[in-house]
Amino acid sequence: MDLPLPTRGRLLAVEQSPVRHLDATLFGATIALCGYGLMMVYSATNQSLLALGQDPGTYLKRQILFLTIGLIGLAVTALMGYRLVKLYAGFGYALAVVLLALVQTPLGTSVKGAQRWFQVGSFQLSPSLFSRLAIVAMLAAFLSEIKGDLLLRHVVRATILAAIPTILVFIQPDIGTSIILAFVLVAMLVVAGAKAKHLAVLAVVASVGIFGAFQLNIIQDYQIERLRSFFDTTAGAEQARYNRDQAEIAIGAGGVTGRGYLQGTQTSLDFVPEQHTDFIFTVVGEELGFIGAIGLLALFALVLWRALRIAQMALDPFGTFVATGVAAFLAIQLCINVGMTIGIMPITGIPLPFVSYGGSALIADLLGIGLLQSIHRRRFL
Amino acid sequence: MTEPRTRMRLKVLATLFVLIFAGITTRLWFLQVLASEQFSALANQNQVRLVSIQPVRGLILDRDGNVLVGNRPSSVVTVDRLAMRESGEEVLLRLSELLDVNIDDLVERVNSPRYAPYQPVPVAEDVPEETIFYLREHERDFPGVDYELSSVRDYPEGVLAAHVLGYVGEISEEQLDALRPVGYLGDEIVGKAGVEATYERLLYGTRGQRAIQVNAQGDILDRDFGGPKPAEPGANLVLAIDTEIQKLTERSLTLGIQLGRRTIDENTEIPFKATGGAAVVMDPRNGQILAMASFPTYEPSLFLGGLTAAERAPLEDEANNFPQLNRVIQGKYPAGSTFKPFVAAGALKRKMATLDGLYDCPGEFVVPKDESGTVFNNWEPVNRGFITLAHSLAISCDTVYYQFGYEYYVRYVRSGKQSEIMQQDLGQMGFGRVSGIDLPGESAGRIPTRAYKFDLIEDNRDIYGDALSLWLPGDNVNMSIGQGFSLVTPLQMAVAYSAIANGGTVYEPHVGLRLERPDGTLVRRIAPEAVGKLPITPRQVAYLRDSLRGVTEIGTADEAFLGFPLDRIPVAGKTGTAEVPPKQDYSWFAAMAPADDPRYVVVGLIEQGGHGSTTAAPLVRRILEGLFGLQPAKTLEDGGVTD
Repeated sequence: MDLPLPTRGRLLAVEQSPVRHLDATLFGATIALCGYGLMMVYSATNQSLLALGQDPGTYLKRQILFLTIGLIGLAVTALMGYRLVKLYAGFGYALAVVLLALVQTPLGTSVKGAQRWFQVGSFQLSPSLFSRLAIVAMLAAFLSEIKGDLLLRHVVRATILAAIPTILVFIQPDIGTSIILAFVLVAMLVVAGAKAKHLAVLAVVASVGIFGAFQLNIIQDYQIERLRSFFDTTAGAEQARYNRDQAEIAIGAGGVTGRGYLQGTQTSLDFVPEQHTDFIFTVVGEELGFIGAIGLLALFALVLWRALRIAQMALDPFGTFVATGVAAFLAIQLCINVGMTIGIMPITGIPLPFVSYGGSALIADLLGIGLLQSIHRRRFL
Repeated sequence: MTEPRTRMRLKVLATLFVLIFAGITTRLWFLQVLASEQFSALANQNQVRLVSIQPVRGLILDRDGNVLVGNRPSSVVTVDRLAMRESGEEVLLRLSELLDVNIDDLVERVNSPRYAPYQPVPVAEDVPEETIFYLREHERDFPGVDYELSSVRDYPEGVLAAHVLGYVGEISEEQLDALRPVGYLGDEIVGKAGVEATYERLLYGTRGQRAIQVNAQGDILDRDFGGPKPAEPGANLVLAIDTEIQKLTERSLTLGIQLGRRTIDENTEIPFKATGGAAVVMDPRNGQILAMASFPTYEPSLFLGGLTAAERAPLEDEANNFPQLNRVIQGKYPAGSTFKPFVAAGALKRKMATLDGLYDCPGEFVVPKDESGTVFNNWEPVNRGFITLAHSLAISCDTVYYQFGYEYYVRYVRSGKQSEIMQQDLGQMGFGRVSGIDLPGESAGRIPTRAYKFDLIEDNRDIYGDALSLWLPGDNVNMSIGQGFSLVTPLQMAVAYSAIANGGTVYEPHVGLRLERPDGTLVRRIAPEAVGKLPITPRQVAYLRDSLRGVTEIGTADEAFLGFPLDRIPVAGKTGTAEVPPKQDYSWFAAMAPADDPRYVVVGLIEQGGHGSTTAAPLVRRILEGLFGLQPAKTLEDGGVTD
C-alpha cells in the first residue's frame, strides 16, 4: 500500500480532542437552560426565605452546587465514551431496580404521601430520576443487539424490562415518572422499528394494568383528586384545582413582556405552590412573560433538535437508541411539566428539566446530555 | 450512520416533538396574550384584601361644647377563626380562663355569623394591660388570638343625661336590614337608644377601606398597601342640653323622689312610694330641651361590649321600676289638673267661657238629667261660688271644668255625635300625638275618642263587665280634669305649656342643636320648627299665662313657693294630682318663668308622689331656683296637700 497515512494520524488527533468534538450548540443551550433555572429558582425562593429569616440565596446556592456536580458528571460521561455504558447497562439497570425497591422500605423518606427519596445528609436522593437513565441504557443495549426485524417477542421483552422499574415507580406512587418511562419505551420501540399492531397490544395491556391499579387503590387519593380536578372544572375538588388555577393566573398575568424579574406577586407571595420545583415555569411565565416563555421553549427546541440529530448521526444503533431515549425523556418531561402549568395536562409531580430546583433531576438530566455528547464525539468511525 | 428507515422513524419522533411545542405555544398565546388582562386582575385580587375601617364615632357635646359622650381607646382581644386552625378548642379554653369569660359565651361570640370568615372577631373589650402582655408573651399558646386598640364610648359625666344620650351596642338584625343599603356591615356598633340612635347615620361617619397585601397563607405582609380610602369620622352632635341645668334637674328630681319617700300619704297612711319621676326643662321660645331627667336611671357605659346576663337582669326587673324607660317621653300618665289650662283654652275657643265671665265652683257636680246620679266632686269639699276663669285655674276648681266638659258633651250630641270637638281641640294643642322630638320611642299619649272607648270595652268585656261602651257625658267630664282614659307624657305637657308661654306656638321639641364636623363646619342645623298653634287669640293666651301666676301666689302652689322671690321672678304654674287607682296619686307641676316673658318651661312629675303641691311643685321650684341663680335647696320640703 502506497497510500499516505498522515491524514489518518491527524484524524485521530482531532477525534481525540474532546472539546472540538463536543456539540457546542447542545452544550450552549444546556448551560443557558441551567442559567435560566438558577435565575428562576432565586426568584421563586428569595421572598419566602427572607420571610423565614433565612439567607434568600439558600436554594440558589444549593442549586449551583447540584449544577456543578451535574456538569462534572456531564464531562465525565462525555469523555468516558458511551460504549462503556453499554457494558454496564445491565448492572446499572439492576442497581436502579434495587434502589427503587429499597425506597419503598423505611429507608426511604415519605414526601406528600409518596415514598420517593433517600435522605442522604441534608440532600434527598431520588432513585426514580436516575432510573430513567439506567432504563434508557438497558433498553438501548437490548434493542441494539436485535438483528433483523423487531418481532413481537422483542417488544414484549423490552416492555418487561421497562415495566419492572415503571411499576416500582408507579406504586411509590409517582404517576408522572411512570408516564415518562412508558413514553421513553414507546419512543425507543418506534425508532427501533416496532410495528403499529404490536404497540396497540402494548397500549391495551397498559390500560388494563392502570385500571387494575385504580382497583387495588395503589393510586393515592391526592393523585386522584389532582387528576379529577384537571378533568372536572365545576364540581368539588376545590383544593386540588387550586394549584392549576394559581399557576394559570401567574402565567396569564405575565402577559407578553412579563411583570419583570423578581416582580411577580403570584410568585413572591407564594400563591403558586411548589413554584421552585414542579411549577417553576409559572415564574418564567409571570415574570418574563410570553417572550421569556418562548425563549425558554426555544432553548429546549434546540436541545431536542440536537439530540435527534445526534441519534441520527450516531455511529451504532446503541448510540441512536440512547440518544432517542434521552431526547424522549426530555421532551415528555417538558410536555407534562409545562402542560400542567398552563392547564393542558393533569398535574403530576414532574420537574422541568435543567430549570426546576432539585439535585437528582438536574444531575440525571445533565448525565443524559453527557451521553449525547459522548455519542456526538464518536459519530464518525 | 443510521440506516434510512431509522431516520424516517426519528422524523416521526421529531414530528411529535413539534406538535408538543405547537400545543404549548398556542396555549401560552391564549393565556399570556389574549387573556392576559383578566389574569392580571385575578393576580391582583389574589394578593390584595380590602379591609373595611370603622370610622371614629362623632362626639356628643352639650350646648356649650362640653363633652357628654366621647371616645376612648380600649384593648380588644380578637380571634381569627381561620388562623386558629385545628387547635381552636384548646385555644378558646385557655382564652376563656385568661379573660375570665364563660367558655360558652366565648364560643358563641367567636361563631357569630355577623363576621366574615377572614375577619377577626372581637371577643373581649377593655382587656387589662397585664392580660395583653401575657398574650404577647405567650403568642404560641394562642394562635389566631390577637389584640387591637379600638375606640369605645366614654362618658365623662357618668350617668348624666343617660336617657337623652342613650347607648351603643351591636347592630340588631332589624337595624342591619335598614342600614345595609347605606353600607353598614354585620359587625357594626350602632346607637341603640337616645340621640345615639336618632343621629346614628351622622354620628357614624363613613367607612374607609384599607388594602392589605397578603400571601397565599393569608399572612399579612403589608398593612398599608395600595391606595386606601380613609374613614371619615362621624359628625359631632351638639345638644341643646346644658350640663349645669341637666345636673340641677337630675338632682332636683332625685330630691323630689326622696321627699316623696319620706312623706306620709294621707290616703294610704304609708310614705309615698315615689317609684319614678320625670323632669324636663324646655326653652318655650324655640322648643329646645335644656334638660331632661328620668328617674330611675342607668349607666350607659354598662352597654359597652354588650350586656352580660348579670347586668341585664336588674334593668329588666320590675322591682327596679325599669330604669331604661325615659319617663319624659315614654311615661304615659293622666294629666290631672295640669290639663285645665288647655280645657280652658278650648272653652274660650268654643265660647263656653270668656275672659270676663264668672263660673260657678260648687263642691260637687252632677250631670244634668243623669238618672244614675253620679257625683263628680271638687278636690276640696268647698263651694267657692262664682269665680273668674283665672281664679278657677289658681285654685284648680274641678267643678268649673266639669261644666266645660259637660258643655263639650252637649255640643257633641248636638252634632249628631259626629264631631268630637273636645278631642280635636286638645289634639291641636299637641295631646294624643307624638311631639316629634328627636329621640326614639316617644309615646303619643292618648286622647280617648268614642271609637277608642267602644273598642276598649267591647274587646275587654271580661274586665269591664256590662259597662256601656257608648261615649257618655262622664267621659267628657273626666277628660276636663285630665282623668278618664286620657294620658299624656311629661314632654307633651312641656310642649303645651311652652305654647302658652310663647304666645301660642306649638313647637316640635328637640334635644339636638346641630351637627358639625370635627373642624367645626356645620353639617346640619336642627332648626326650631313650629308645628301648631293654640286655637285661641294671643290675648287669651296671655290671659291664661297671667292667670297661672295666681297658682304660685295665692293658689294651690302658694305654700310650695313660700319664700320664692315671685316679685322678682314671677312664676306661672299649675299643679296636678293624677289619680291612678289603686296606686297612690301622681304629682304634677308645670311652670313658666319668668311669667311675664318666659324663658323656661319646667315640668315635673313624681309617680306615686302625692298631690301636685306635695312633691312635684317643690322639685320644680328647686329647678327654678337654680335657673335664676338662687341657691337651690339642699333638701326639699313638701308644699302641702293641694291639687
